[in-house]
Amino acid sequence: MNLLTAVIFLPLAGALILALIPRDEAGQHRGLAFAVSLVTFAASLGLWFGFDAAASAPEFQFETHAPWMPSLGIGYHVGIDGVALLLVMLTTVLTPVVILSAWRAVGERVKEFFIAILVLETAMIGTFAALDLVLFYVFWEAMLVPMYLLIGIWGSQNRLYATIKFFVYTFAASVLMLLAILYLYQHAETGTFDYVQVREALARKPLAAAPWLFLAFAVAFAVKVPMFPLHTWLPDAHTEAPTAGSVILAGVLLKMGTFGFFRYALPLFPEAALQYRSVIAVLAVIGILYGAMMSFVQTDMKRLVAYSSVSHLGFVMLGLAAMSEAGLTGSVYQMLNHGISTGALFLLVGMLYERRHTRAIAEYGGLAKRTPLIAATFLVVTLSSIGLPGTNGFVGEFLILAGTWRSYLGSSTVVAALAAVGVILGAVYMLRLVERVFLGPIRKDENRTLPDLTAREGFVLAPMIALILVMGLMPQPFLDPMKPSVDRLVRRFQTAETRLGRGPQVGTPPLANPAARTAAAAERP
Amino acid sequence: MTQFPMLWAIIALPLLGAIVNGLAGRRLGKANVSLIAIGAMIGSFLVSMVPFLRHAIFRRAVESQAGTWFEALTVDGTNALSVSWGLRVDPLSAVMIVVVTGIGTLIHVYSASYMSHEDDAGYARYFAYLNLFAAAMLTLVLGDSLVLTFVGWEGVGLCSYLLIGFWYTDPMKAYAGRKAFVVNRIGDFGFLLGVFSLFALFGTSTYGGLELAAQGVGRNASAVIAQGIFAGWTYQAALTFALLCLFVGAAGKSAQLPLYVWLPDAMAGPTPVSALIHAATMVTAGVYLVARLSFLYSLAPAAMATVAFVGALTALFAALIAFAQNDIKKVLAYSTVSQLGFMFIGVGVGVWWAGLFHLVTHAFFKACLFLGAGSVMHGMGDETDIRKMGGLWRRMPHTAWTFAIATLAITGLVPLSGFWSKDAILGGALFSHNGAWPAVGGIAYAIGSVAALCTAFYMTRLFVLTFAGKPRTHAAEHAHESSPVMTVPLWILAVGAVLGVFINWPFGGRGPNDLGHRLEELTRGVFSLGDRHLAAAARALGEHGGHGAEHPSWPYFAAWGLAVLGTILAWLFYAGRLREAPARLARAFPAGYRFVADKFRVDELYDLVVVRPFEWISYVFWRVVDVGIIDGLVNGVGRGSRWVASIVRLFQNGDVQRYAAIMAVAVAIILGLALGMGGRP
Repeated sequence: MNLLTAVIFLPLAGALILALIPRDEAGQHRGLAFAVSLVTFAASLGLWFGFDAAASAPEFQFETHAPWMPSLGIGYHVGIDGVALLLVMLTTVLTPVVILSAWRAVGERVKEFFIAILVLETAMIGTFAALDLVLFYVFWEAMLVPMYLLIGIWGSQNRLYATIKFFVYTFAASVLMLLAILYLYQHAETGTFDYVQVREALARKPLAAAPWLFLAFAVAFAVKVPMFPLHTWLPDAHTEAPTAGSVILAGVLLKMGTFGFFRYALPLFPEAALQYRSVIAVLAVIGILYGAMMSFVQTDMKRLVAYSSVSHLGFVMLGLAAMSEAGLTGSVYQMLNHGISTGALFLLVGMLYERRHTRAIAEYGGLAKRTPLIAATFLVVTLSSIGLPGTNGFVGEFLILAGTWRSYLGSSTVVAALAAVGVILGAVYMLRLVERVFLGPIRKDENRTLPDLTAREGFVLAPMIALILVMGLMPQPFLDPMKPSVDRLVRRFQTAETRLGRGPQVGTPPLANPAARTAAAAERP
Repeated sequence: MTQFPMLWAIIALPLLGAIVNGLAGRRLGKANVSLIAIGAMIGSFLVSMVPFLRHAIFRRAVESQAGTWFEALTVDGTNALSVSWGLRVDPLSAVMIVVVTGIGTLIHVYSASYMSHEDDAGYARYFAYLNLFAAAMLTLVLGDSLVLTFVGWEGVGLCSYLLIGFWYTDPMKAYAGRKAFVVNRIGDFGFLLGVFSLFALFGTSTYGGLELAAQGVGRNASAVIAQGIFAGWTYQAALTFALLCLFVGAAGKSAQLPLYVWLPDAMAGPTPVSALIHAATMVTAGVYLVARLSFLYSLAPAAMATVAFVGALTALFAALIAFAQNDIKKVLAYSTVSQLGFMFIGVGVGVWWAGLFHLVTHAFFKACLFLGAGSVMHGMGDETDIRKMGGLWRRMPHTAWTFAIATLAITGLVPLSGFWSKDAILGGALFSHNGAWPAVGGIAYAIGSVAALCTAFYMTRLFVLTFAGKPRTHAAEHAHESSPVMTVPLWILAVGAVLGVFINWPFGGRGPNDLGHRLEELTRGVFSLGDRHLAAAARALGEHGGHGAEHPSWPYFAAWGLAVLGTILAWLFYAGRLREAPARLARAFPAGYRFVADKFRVDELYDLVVVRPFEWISYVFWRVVDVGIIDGLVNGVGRGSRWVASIVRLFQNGDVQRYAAIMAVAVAIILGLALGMGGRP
């Protein structure tokens, strides 16, 4: 069997086995779910090492194509490019971490909880791997159900409002995408839902309705990202979700939106994308600054971290709108970074919550004396989140900002400078959080007896810390696989820009003087 | 250039020390912790001496390349952005690493005694931070590109944050740490934009690459750029923009106007930290940056004028505040801000070596002063108010003697080191030429001279109030001298403050073979391109300038006279005949006195203009835009759908399978309808 297909459906198979185990064997459910997620991770390592990142290698690897509903032109077509590979890896790394983190936190309906997590993993991997529009849509919607249940059943007090808001927001938006997919099927004249064929057909002969189709896709993805002003489901969903839900939501689900832009909205409709890029860039910058300002005034830890996601994902969207090689590369990298650092922040906030059962920042203070290990870990993750050099966050932010500065985006320097203000604001709200939770004197008596990190929690956080440092100091192994995908996207844009005939609009603008360029080239070994 | 992989050890040793002490220090015991930390520093110092001596003797630069950190290539395979790991030692960085590791080692030793009251965990944490700081500072100095310098730049900012807030259970100290980090981040914002600009202009951020580019631009700086981000600008304008951005970064790190506000608060950290980070090394990083980019700054006279003018203003502004401070560390902090201003005058008017010279001499005497202040605090039970001291000369002779020497050095009395370095700067300013603002050199000289007079006054005041006269409190009467572990580093630094003159021996000829002007000769190669640019600009202005021209010596006498005058005045005011004068002056101008004592209320101004509005606008946005408008709309839709839901409620009973079934049916129906409408099979 195809390795990719195995990775996609291993968690689902695990979920089926879990369903057969009696409800009262909570320990077995935990152990088995963890084992399944580890096996999935091990299998995905095969993808990682088997992937060929050379420019000459095929775009989609580990490809499988099987008819599913041939009369309708729907097939089971999966395959991954470098970007999808990285996001699949992110998913398979985060899932065991999340399962381990929920070991004690989830005490009721343990069986259903782990089934939901495993089903969700299959849906997430499937979304990244799908190469058929209907298959993509099925996986996309399939993610909603377990997530809906995770928040609705295991969430906190206000969970019903949050779930309904989450569901209505995302479902309404994705219906637009479904309509666009159906329109494509009818008018692209391929008689198939196959992504690769549709993309080729559109590249040969763009549709007149492309701007509308682009908007339909873009809105569906923008809600998921989320982009300002479609972000208000996020704070509620994050805040009410159980820790595991928040981590997956922040770590992987938000990337569905940015991945959707990268895989679908931009390459399918490059002309329309060029037309709307300024809108995207402006909304991205607003998101960066606005999200940071929102974080600054929150009194609830989870809500603060949730709003910081709006800010961080703004950077990702900005890199996409810049459409320069550095910007796109940084954008994809920042997807991974956000998954790791914000995921880790939610894990840490969850650990504090398990100890004190409150998310109110004012209930904490001075914890560093009692829980130095948690404090130190929290600080490292914070530094990653605010992009300190040496952590992964710096590489992503630097590539995005430098790539935006030197791009064909209108007023690129102003946009990049405004976005860079977000780097200052990130330090403002994150360090204030650290100060109010961990520094100062211990004011509440409940905080005097808190236990520090347990061994299990250490295992939960260790991979995150390791990734933060490794990806900060040695980013190239992670940048290499995405290179061919980024280049293909840029070429696609270049074809579109030639067709539009308004001069260069994508890629990297030339340097000021040729003499300096040779100097720069001479430095490269 | 020679490859010299050993350079990495200079950074790796303290980094390793930080990791070991950070992870296992609390179980190792204090003796082992200090052994590891000090050992790492000594090792780093010894390794640093190797490239330094190679320079001093063979004049040969060394470097070490270690591959790509990260890069992005364009679709054509050319370089869009590339950052490599590489270190480089030229005379400029050679001087810096010796200062950092040398003074760093002394302060580590001093700290072993000063911090001995901490518990094991705190002691290990302290030394881990201190070692980490050394590693970051050395990265800043050794990095061969702006991006690597930025790595160290933010790294030292982090360590500064951690060490200012070392006693974090005190909320004020924790706040001071955060304030330092955030203000530095504002500077870093400028630094980043500067780097992006240079990347967009020349496609590189390595110093070697930028120097080549500067050579290329050299002759025709006024040419218009034809392509790229800065199309339509002249090279000079684009460079001025980039360099001003970088100077924002330098002003943040080196506490210049208007970003100096974090440094006085940074005194919340342990005193050895103030000596090492907030006096001798980290805060000089901005000066280092400007000197490092001399070949670019010399092409942008407007940027240089800004550097010099901001430096001069800061020198005077901070000196004035120092007049009315009563906290021994606060006086020294404002003094540091002021002295950094002098260094910026130096690099801003093109006497790069003099800026570096003052950096080195200042590192000695200011570290000595801070450690002296620490010794006083140690002996007085952490008292920092100089009004409660007095007469400590008898009780703490070593501290008093070294403090006196360092005070005279910073005052600028012949023949101590501060005189030579400060007056090299002021003399250089007076005789400099700036095409964008010809008067800036003279203005900087005038403001700087007044600031030098103020320096003499407030430093003498500080010394007199602390050490002379009679003890004014019980604690001062029973103060005790510190242990030799603390006084020996004091003496070494004091001797350094005296011998500093030998760093740049002012007597003797100027030929290539004499031993005079060591520092100036040593660094000539680094600054030669910048000097050539300046000389060319001066020629274009029709003047003779640059180095080698004979200058009159009256500015030297004037500066010396001012120093003496300030010292005598302060002595009269605080120990002599005019003892009543300060109090009477304060009574005569109460508002003015309060204004100065309150540090011109700049913190309050920032709070009013920046911090509060930001907080307020954020809150309003949250309440109005997020909760009011957007969620209002969403909930409106929600209420509408609830009505619909009341009808379809029958389908919802919390059963997973049923949800899935409904969704499948719904998808099927939509699909069927759409396909049906399309008329396809």
